Amino acid sequence: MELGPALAGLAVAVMCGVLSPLVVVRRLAFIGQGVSHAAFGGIGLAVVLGLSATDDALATFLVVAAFCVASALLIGVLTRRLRAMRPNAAASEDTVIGIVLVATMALGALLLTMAPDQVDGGADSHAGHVHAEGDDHSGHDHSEHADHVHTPEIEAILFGSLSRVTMVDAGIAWGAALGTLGIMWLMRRQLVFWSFDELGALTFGVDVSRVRLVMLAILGVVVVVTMKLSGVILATALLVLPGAVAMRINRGLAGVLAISVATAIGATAFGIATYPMTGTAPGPLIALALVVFWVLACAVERVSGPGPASGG
Amino acid sequence: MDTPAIEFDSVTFRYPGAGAPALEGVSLRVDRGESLALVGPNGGGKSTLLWLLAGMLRPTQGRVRVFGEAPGVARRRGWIASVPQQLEFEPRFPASARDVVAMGASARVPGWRAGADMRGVDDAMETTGCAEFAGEAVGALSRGQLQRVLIARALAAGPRIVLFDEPLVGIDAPGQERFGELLASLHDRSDVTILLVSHDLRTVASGASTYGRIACLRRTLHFHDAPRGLTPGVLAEVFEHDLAGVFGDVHVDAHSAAECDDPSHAGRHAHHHGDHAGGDS
Repeated sequence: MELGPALAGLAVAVMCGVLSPLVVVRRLAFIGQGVSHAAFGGIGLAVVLGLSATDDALATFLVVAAFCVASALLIGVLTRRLRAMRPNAAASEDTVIGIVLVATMALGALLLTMAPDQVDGGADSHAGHVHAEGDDHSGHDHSEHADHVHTPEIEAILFGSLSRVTMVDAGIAWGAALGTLGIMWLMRRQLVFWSFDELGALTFGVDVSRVRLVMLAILGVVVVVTMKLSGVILATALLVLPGAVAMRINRGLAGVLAISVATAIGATAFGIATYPMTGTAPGPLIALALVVFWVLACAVERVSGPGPASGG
Repeated sequence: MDTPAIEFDSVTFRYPGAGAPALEGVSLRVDRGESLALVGPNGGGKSTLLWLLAGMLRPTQGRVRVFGEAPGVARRRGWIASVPQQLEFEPRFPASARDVVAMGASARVPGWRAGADMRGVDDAMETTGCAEFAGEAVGALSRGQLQRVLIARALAAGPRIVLFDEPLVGIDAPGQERFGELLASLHDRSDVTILLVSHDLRTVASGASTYGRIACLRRTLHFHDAPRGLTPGVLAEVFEHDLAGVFGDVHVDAHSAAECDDPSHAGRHAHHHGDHAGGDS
């Protein structure tokens, strides 16, 4: 197991593990999906700007993160306008997310197909690792084989890739993890109230629209870091399943957070550890491991019941 | 004279795209420590009035003030606490009953400061009788237990105004009685202002001795002031003897049928009558 992917995976797992119960109780899965698809648009933008995902990791991260956070905030601002008309208007959020999702995804697809040469430039050093380990691709002709290289590159974006994860990425992941967890710690009381009862929190004086926007921004950052490992499509797996698993076996906040983080770490470790054997993209392995954990958690809940929310 | 706790000045509110306003020309003044009950049919503007009061909606016309401030300011200062109608939450939510009450106390405490004083939380739980199930998971509570937890959450916030939105929906008879007692003790022991809205006259009746005034809300507001006949005492008495009499006699007494021509009154009327006959005899 290489150090870069392992360190990045740990950061991603901790971040997603803490965020996941919130995503589950506040039903942010679809927003998470929307934001992660926005990342595709962000990647398209980064490619058009001439950035390489490996050589300009930090710059690419910043561009994609900015794009994702902007998309998340756009969803937040648009739904806030709906709420200003009717405070309990939750259903219309769906439509807003759906629109932002397809718009950003389509933009990304368009930008990526319009700029195949740049895609190759960023991809040729690692696309080969994923699909033809050991095969030397460095000498091939870009203009002639653009489509061949292009597809694995997009596949890596969609389903994740480990060979793309460097120590720089690990550093970015840890920076993002510490930043987002720090902000969540500072807002923990408001977050807990908001996640339990949004309208109640609003009446009791919690600045709910600020909490929502900060959470959406955090979601945007987390998704960008996560998708490096799991891919755009399956980033939602790490945002939804660890919390869903934990809430089936425990009813206390500390217990749920601990189980959620442990689940995320377990699944990520499985995806990274099996990579050398399978050579497949890690995203599907992580997602399937999480689904297996979830099935087990359902069985545990059925057998033993949830137990009290002791500890307070 | 003191600044009123709640003041509505000719407030009209129309939802965007809606033809008729949800509220029209509503003027209302509630003093500090007063308790007011608002009764009205579903869709009569009760929730709209609460949202205007908490600053979640802004009036189309007119002005709302809470202790002399804009409602949004009052809300952000933590002056308002609410007991919601029917709380929809994730049944597996990882919190105990006590955790939920503590949310009220620490709603506005920033993360870098120490948490709220837990004695307030425990006192509120003692007052509302939640202490014995403090450690239970919130998703495992009965409807009545959850209501007490939510009342405790409101009290733990130390608010100036407590809003009750349909507090007795889904609460059994002993729970309703208990709610009446709780409301009375809250009214007697503190100078907190209470505003309760309900479509159900039984809800109003269960706390009847507490309310200084009772008003009927159906787009416009009609007061039943004591001299006109619908005193809380009268209401309680009427409810005890014959529920059907409320809409038949007192309602007509209090304001003319033309002022409050709710076609559904007749139907609900029979419904209450039936419930009453089944429940109390």
